[in-house]
Amino acid sequence: MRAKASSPDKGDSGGMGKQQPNRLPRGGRIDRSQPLTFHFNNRACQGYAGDTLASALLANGIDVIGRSFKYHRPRGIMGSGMEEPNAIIQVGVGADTVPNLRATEVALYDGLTASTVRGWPGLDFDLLAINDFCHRLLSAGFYYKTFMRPGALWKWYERCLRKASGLGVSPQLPDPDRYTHRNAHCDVLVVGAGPAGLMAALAAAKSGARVIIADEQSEFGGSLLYSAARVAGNSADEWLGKALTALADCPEVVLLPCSTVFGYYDYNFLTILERCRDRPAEPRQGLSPSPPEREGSKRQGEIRQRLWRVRAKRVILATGAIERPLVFPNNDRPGVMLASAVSHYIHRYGVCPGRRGLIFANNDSACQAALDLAAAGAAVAAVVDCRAAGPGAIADAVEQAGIDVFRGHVITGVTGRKRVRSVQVTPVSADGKTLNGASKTIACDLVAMSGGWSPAVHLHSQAGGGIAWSEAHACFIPDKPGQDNVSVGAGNGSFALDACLAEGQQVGLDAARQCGFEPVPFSTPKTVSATVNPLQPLWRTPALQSPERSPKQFLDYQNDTTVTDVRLAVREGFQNVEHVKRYTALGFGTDQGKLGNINGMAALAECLDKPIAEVGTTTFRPPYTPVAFGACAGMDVGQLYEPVRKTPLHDWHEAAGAEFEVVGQWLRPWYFPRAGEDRLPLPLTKKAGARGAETGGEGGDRRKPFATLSLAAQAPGEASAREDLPEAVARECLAARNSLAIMDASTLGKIEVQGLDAVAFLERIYTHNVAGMKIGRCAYGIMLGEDGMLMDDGVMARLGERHFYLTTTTGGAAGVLHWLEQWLQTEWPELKVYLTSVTERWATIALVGPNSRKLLQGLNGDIAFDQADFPFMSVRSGVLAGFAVQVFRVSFSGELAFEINVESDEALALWRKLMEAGGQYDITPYGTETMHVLRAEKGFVIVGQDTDGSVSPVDLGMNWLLTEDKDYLGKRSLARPDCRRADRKQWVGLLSEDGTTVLPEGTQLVEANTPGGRPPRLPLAALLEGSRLVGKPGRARGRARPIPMVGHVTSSYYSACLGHPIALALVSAGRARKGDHIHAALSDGRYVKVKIVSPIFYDPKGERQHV
Amino acid sequence: MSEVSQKRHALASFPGWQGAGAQAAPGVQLEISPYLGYLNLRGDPGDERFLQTIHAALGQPLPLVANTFTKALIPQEIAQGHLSIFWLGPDEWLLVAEPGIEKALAGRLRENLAGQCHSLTDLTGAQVLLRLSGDHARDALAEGCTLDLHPKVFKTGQCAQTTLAKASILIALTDDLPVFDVIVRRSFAGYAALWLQHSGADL
Repeated sequence: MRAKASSPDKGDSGGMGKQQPNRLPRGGRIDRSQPLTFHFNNRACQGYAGDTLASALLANGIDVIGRSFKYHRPRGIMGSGMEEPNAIIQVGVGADTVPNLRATEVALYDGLTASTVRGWPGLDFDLLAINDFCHRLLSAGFYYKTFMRPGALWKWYERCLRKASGLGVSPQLPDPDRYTHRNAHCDVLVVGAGPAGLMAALAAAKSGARVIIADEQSEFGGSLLYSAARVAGNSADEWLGKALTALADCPEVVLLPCSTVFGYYDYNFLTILERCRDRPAEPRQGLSPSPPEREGSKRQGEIRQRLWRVRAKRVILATGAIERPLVFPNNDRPGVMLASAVSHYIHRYGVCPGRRGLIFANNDSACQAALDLAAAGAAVAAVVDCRAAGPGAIADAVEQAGIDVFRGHVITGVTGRKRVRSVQVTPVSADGKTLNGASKTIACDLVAMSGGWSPAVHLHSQAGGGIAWSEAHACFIPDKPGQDNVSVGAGNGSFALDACLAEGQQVGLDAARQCGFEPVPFSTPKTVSATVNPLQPLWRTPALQSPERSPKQFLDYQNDTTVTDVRLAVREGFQNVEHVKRYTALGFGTDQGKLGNINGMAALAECLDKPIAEVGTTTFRPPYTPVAFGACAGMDVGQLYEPVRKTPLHDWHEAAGAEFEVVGQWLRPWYFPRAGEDRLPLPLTKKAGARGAETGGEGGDRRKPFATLSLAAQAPGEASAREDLPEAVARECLAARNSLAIMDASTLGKIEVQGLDAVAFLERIYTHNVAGMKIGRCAYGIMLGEDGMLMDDGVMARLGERHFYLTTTTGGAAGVLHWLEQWLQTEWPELKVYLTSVTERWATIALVGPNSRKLLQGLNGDIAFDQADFPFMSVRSGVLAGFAVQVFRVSFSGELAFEINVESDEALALWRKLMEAGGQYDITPYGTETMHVLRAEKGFVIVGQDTDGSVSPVDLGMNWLLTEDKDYLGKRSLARPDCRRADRKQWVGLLSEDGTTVLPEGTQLVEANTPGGRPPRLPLAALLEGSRLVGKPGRARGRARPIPMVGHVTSSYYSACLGHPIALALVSAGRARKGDHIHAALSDGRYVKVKIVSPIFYDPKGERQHV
Repeated sequence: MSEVSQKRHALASFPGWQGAGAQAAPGVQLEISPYLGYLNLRGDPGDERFLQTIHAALGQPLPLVANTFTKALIPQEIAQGHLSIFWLGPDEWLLVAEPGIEKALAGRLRENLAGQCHSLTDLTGAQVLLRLSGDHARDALAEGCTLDLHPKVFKTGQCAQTTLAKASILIALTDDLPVFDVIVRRSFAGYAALWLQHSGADL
């Protein structure tokens, strides 16, 4: 961490001075032995390792860095850290490009390319600077005024506004960088490594407490990095080095430079963004050495940013303070900077940002900039101080240095457009409110301003803490903390170095004690803090003209909010600070008004004639500074985006060339295409009318890939509302019906229920008669939500007197287990019942088809498979082909079928054996698509496809499952009047009258209510607005009429076995309407006439599964 | 009965395994312990008879302290090998034994527990044990596990049900080296292993 500072103070090598006109011959914490080349707006520039982009730009004498948001005024660098409002730049190109970075925070690296985010056609000549003269059109709230009418043009306005005001460009390519998260826990988290934070961390860490200290800068030290003070007999720099060594020697310390604590959430949970590539090259405590590369020069696999999620017992906020700008006419001209930033650039980077500086301040701290400028060899034009007089050691030093001091003066004007040329200085009354004397013009190219300091109370406030107005320092300071945290140092309104050190040490020792550690006292480093002349609040310099007539006085630089805007907002009736913020965009930029907010609130207070404390601040919300989306995502991208659950048989399916379908998190075989097998074109629907041919119909959403393929393969002009069925699915369906098919059903949810009260428990959950089940028998069971609607279904088997085995749907497995546990633990704790998930214990292989029994009987084993010994809906355990298995004789296809449970590790071996033995029956593996078709032919419901949480078992025609003489969850809800409405949607089958159209799933069903028994033909445009037309006949202008919608299609397939399409649907009072005709309204505007039939299309008596 | 050679554990075709281990970040070793026997046991910890029956049958008591596990030799008359018992909840434990002996263990338990209210479920094959060790094992886990795994907080002999990124896991510290046993459901094993391979890099 100290490497950069230790570079010898040697002069510039020849030629460098020309390229970096503002670089001082010596000094700064940069490494002059490592010159770096970078490009800004295509101009080649030089800098040194240790520079930020901002310091390098200043060194190269580049004044204008960007154009402002609204008025496109030229802007230069104003600050030196995260508070920077103007120097917003785009870094990198292609996939690596990053928009909207603050140049003050970008560590320079060789080859860096940066560009301005605004300015057209160019930065130097920006046509939109015309806005500067049209400001009356662009006043506060201009979005709401200027661009209101005509409303339809807003889309066009918006595009132009975006172009004119937009920030950087988002990368168009996938992010090549890696990001990660890290969960961390500590006793004490110290935010900020300035003097107060360092002392706090040191005091806490010496006790042995686990300490994390984070600072957004690449070097720890805060103000010590550019301080002229002496600490404990050393220079600030030397003392800092010693303190850091002592800190690194503590046992449980994690040091995080380049790390911004950006969020403070409940229960002392904080988030930190670590910019790994910017961090210094030395090893970090507790972690292995980090790479020396910086942003841009990356190594394969290197992490760009790491998001820390920290849970801390105690949080010490040593966040420091942000210097406030002063508000005077043209206070945004390039060359106007924060006074602390001037000192910062001189001391830290060896860059003098001007030749002839002028200081304008209402406090003593800015005098340091005057001394620093003088020491750097620059001329100091004057120190302009709004205070009339008063003692002060630093001020004395300035006068002793022979610098002109204008006491009781303010700046009333600035000349120079792309760089300050001179300022106008005018005497002011003692209260700073009125001008009282003749103005004087002073030439200068740099204005170092200081309006006092605002503690960075953001995190304190995010944590729920209050803030209070301090009259003494004219700033908001932290009040009562909201959580287990404490603020200290400048962040707490203690601006003197000695106070920071002492307070930091005290809170560090306290924190260690609070976390159960014995504090190790040590002497507080002694330092001399100069006597200070108190600050005099100056929220706006009195102007020669009214604010409306004088040049713009900026409050928020990034959003171009001026004093005039706030005054206008108040004139228009806005009073609350949150409203004014939104109306004027004050503090709405990416910097969230870090410089401008307090001045803006003061301007508001002045207009409202209220004290600032009463006006208050806007809400501080995370993030403190912007966070890249990549950092939020961390490792959860690509392959790791979501767990992909695979069954024990997955490898076999893959080798067999299966197409897969995602079901929940599972990957299930969808169908198994054979070589040379094509999608089977279905019989075409009737040629669609001219209107139908205009737009392509699409299949149900679950089969999107098919629809896409078929559209792509389709000849132009061919009728489009049709479904293509893969040849494989037809083949698989026929194999199951005619011979033997095999499916991997391992994803079924499986739960074992054991215990004394297992029967009583299941009676309350399921609707059927559980107690009546014999051991060894199975039953189809459904469970309802408390609202009486179908929640899940499955087969239940009774394995013992008090031992049951339940299956659930694939997607519902986890939810059902939680549901059951919740009832047991919270409502019925008296029931002695234990639940265990066995979903992954068993792989489930379904053997389906007339030859399934023959296959099983041909294998070695001890289970009798004949009808007498093993009837339908029963279960047997035993050995099959050498494997321990549970066999269920159940059927989801209506065929003779068996489901075999085998231990997951052995599933593949058994599957192979079954495939081998099944060869004589042409055993056919099938996937979920065939399973869906087979069950639809039989009218078996799929929860979640045919139901949507609003479908009761009565709607589905499952009354036979509802036991009258017991209570179960949802039973009472079924008695509600709404559940008994005669016109509820009921589950029925549908047949297309044309015998060929496969209806898209989700299709709306409508009555044929026109005289001809046909629905009205609607123009496409009217259909697109259909929702508006329905129920609003007045709008239909006589062409379209409301159509009663009576239901929708829930499942729809082409049945290869039946030779025609089938569909299942929910239709109002549908069961009583069998034989009726209604219409399916396709999305292309056509209607298909359909007949309501029973939902059981195949083997209605159920004879095939009982053989 | 089936032979072990017919068995295929959940990560048998996971890319990157070399023998029983997989490539991971420097300072992190990742291995799989396949084919272990798993039994889930539930019962009333307030029932002295239940506790004593288990103790007598297994030669070790059930851990009753939350989030702890015990490990001991199985009584000779049942089988050769070790048995770990993990506390999963106030009335739930996971018994993990060396491969092939879970059936003998389950048989003995069922025999001794006959007539007592309990549930004993064989979960062999339903889970996979991943073993993570090395100097940076904690760093790798910290990227996806929100628990505090600091040696002073999560000590050898402790276990916890938690999450690793988006997978539910049972994690236990079995040695101070450190060695972490991560038990993950079979279908999540591929995800968890892939995740552990990628985490912990560039620390």
